[in-house]
Amino acid sequence: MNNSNDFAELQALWVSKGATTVSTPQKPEAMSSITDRLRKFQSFQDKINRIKLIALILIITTTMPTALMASNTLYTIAGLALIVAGTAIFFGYYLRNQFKMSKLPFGKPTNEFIEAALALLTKQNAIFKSPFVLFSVALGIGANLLVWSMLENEVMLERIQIHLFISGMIAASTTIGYLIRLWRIRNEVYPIMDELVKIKESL
Amino acid sequence: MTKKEELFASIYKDYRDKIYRICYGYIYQKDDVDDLFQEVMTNVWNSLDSFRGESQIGTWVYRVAVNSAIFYNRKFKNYQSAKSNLFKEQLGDEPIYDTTDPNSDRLNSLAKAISQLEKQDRLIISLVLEGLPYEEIAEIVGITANYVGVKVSRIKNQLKNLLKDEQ
Repeated sequence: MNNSNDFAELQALWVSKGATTVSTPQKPEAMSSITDRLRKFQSFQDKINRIKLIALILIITTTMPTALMASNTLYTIAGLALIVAGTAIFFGYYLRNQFKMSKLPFGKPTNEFIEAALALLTKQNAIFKSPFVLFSVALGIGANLLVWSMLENEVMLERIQIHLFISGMIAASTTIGYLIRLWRIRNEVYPIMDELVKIKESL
Repeated sequence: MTKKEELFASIYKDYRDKIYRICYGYIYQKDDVDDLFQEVMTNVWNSLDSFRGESQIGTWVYRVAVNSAIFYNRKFKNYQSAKSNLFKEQLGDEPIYDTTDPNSDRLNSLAKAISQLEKQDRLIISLVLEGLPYEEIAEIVGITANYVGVKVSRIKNQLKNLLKDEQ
């Protein structure tokens, strides 16, 4: 490529080759089959999000009356309220971020797109900061309040053992959940963020 | 067909090859090119509702293509398996550039050289190869036309050296 003529030649070659070897679908039904599949795919994504939301509502609405039927002391109500509030805040935050992520502004100029994508990814990662701590603490205190109200007639030593066991289980499961998510963020999200920052700086 | 479907069909017809070449310039590996192409077309479909006609449709489509390429990461996708066959029938398995064509070596050298550039430079040079004026590239990327000119001249030099090394 010694001069602009050479570049023009490469340009002509580049454009003509793609146009001749990659053929566009000629039949109208081929096009409608594409839009059909796109529509189905979009509704599949919407369905998944709806299922997540329904599952959350179902868990909350079935757990609450069951626990209240078992014991409806102040401790039970307080415990349940904490668990429901913590879960609703955490998953509400999670689903809202997922929804926003599916609406990334791909049609904006690249520099604006990168800003928006970085802001959303940062927000998505932040779920494992205060919302997750709040969720874990609410779950821990709520579960212990429930156990407290259910074991009122048991010996103190036994009650302490069960409280320790429940707290340990919650701490272990939330820690495992946190570590798995952290591993995924480090492997999947950080590389994209690094790449976006690099491109943003070079623009 | 709905209005959205009609618009998508016309975009697909007019820009399919152009988008495919941009994907090819960005990635240079057949499987990944197909994958990125599907990603771009899916993003075009999903973003069509937000298209308000503030820019030319072509500029908008190129923006979606460039931004999708930048954001593209196989590992990151949640619905990979569900999405993988959306355009498969239309794409087929044939090589993009016919190896029996006398110019195919030159073209493959060019694509290979482009694939060695920085990611953002690959996209800019692909847009230049598509024949887009600097003003439109500036509108797509969000920088000034003068700065596009500076970048393109640097990228062309890099490309020249890479092509020289290829020979």
